[in-house]
Amino acid sequence: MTPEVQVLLNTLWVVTAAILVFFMQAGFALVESGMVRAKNAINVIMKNYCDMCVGALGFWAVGYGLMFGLSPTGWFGTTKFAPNSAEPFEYTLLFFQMMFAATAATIVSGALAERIRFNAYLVGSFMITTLIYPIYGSWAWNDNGWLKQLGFIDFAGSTVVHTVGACCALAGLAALGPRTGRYAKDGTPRPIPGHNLPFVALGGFILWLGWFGFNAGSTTAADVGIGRIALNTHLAGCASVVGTIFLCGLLGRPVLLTSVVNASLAGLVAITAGCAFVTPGSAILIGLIAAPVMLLGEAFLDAFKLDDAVGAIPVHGFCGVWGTFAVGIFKESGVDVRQMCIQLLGSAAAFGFVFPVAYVMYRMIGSWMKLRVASVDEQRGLDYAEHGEVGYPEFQDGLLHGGTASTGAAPATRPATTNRPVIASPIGRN
Amino acid sequence: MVTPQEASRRRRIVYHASRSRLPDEMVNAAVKLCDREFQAIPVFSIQKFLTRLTEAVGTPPKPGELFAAMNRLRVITDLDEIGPDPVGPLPVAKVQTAVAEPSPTRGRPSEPPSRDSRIDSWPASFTALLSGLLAELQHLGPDMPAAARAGFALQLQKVDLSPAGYAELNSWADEKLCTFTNRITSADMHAGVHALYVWSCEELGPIETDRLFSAVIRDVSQYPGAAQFPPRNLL
Repeated sequence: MTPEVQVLLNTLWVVTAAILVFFMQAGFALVESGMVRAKNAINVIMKNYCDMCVGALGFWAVGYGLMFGLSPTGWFGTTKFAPNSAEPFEYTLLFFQMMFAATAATIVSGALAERIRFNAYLVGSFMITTLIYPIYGSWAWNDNGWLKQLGFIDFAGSTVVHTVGACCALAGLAALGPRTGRYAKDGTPRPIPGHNLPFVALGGFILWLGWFGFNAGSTTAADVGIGRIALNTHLAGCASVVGTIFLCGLLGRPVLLTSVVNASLAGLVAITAGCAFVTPGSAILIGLIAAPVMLLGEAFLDAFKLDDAVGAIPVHGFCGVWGTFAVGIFKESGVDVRQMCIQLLGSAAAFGFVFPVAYVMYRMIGSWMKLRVASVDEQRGLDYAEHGEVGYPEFQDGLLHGGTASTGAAPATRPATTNRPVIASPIGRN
Repeated sequence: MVTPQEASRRRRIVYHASRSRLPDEMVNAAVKLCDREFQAIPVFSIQKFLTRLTEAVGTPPKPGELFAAMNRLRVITDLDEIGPDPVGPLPVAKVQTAVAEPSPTRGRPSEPPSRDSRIDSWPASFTALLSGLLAELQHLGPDMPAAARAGFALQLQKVDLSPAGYAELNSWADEKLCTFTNRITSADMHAGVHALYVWSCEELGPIETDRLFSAVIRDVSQYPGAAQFPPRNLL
């Protein structure tokens, strides 16, 4: 095969994989919107739709340069900003990495759902894809990055994408606080079930599909290795689901759809770091162990009243750390203690850098433009309060503020606590 | 509309006159009928009431005796002398003069509202909404309405209200006020509903709260006049 044909095939494969990763945004949108109440469904989808857009612009302008530009110090890149004249395959890589950056940012969306202001969220997403994600990414993936130089392995981003996204989400949670009424006075968590479980299931399928592009595309080349990567990816997702079903049976808990979908994602996250370096049997073990990691992570968050609306942090954070660490145990060359230490260092570096920076960022956004919606907006639902529309107008009358009264009578005005101007509601049946 | 005292007097007359003369279910029906159809008209005609009762539930066993008993009670001016209000501590009893009482039946369709009872203003809609919420809370526990009023009063400290609105909402929380007046502003009403929402979220959780509000909104929306003053707009 001539080099030209290989480049052509590589380009085709990586662009196809990038498109699959792009499609994961739809999966995230469905999973997250299905897991929140009907009155917040549009807001969640809007966040997913728009963070991808602001993130893409920021990543093109600054993020890609920070992540993959020439990095003399090993801490961040200094070239390739706003690339307009690059090699053709560089554009391909930029397109692929742009989708990864958007994925890292969108992990935050679900965790902070039902309470964060739309504009504040977008500013946060822009900062994540422009600065936070690329800087950490340069440590692990830039040829001269200090973690990469140490031998840190994160093939497709268990840490670089998922743990970084989860750390940002954790920082956002710490800055925002839980949803009103999420925890009883004695600290007992109150379940807030989602409004559309079929959405969650469909979103899970879409994410799973996209993950084949996410992991196998990370070869950035159309080579024979992509088959095993895809197989490992699939097996880990399946094993995690089976592990969760088994665990739920052991604990006498019902096997919930949300648990199963999150379990599949947990397995997929966990295998992301080592999918190119482990055997299919090891992939199954990595996936199996991801199940209890996710369940313990959920309990851990609740113990600290960290209200993760969709379970994003246990899935992407805890399982990201597990998957990264597992590379040192399960890679084909055998158990490697030094590698395990490096892997742990990589995860610790992600938390140590991303969490405080993201926390300060959210605090600054909060002091600048308010991070959390007014509680009256939480009551009305963010669909109406933030966007002036609702997802299911035919079915939501009973729950909703009716907008401006057609009579022009007293309650046509809205209280000062809300950030949104008075608008004529499209939903009123006055 | 009659005053809250007059509404309570009518209810006491109906209840105490009928409770030793009618079967329990008929007593309940009589009190409901009184609240539904005879609290919005200025003159309480016992004859008319008995006629409607007969139409609604059948002829009472001893109609003459019932008529006489009601007449006897009617001349008593001291409410306590007639006997306690059957709805008693139920906060919903206090607003029955202003608006139709939202049905306390949870999860079941409410009875069609009377044509005589109307929601004719935003404060009336607001009154009905708050009363309905308290009536629903009563189903969750006998202490819930009192706890809600106390929690409501605490929440009011955290919001900006007009002086008149603050006075009215606080009086309502203290059970000194039954019906809101036009002195209360739209922002006060929004803040009042929201105060109860926040208390309910913290006490019952967001899902139960949404269900509660949804049920009451549906209920109050069925009353005559509610289309002009939709309680949804107060959320």
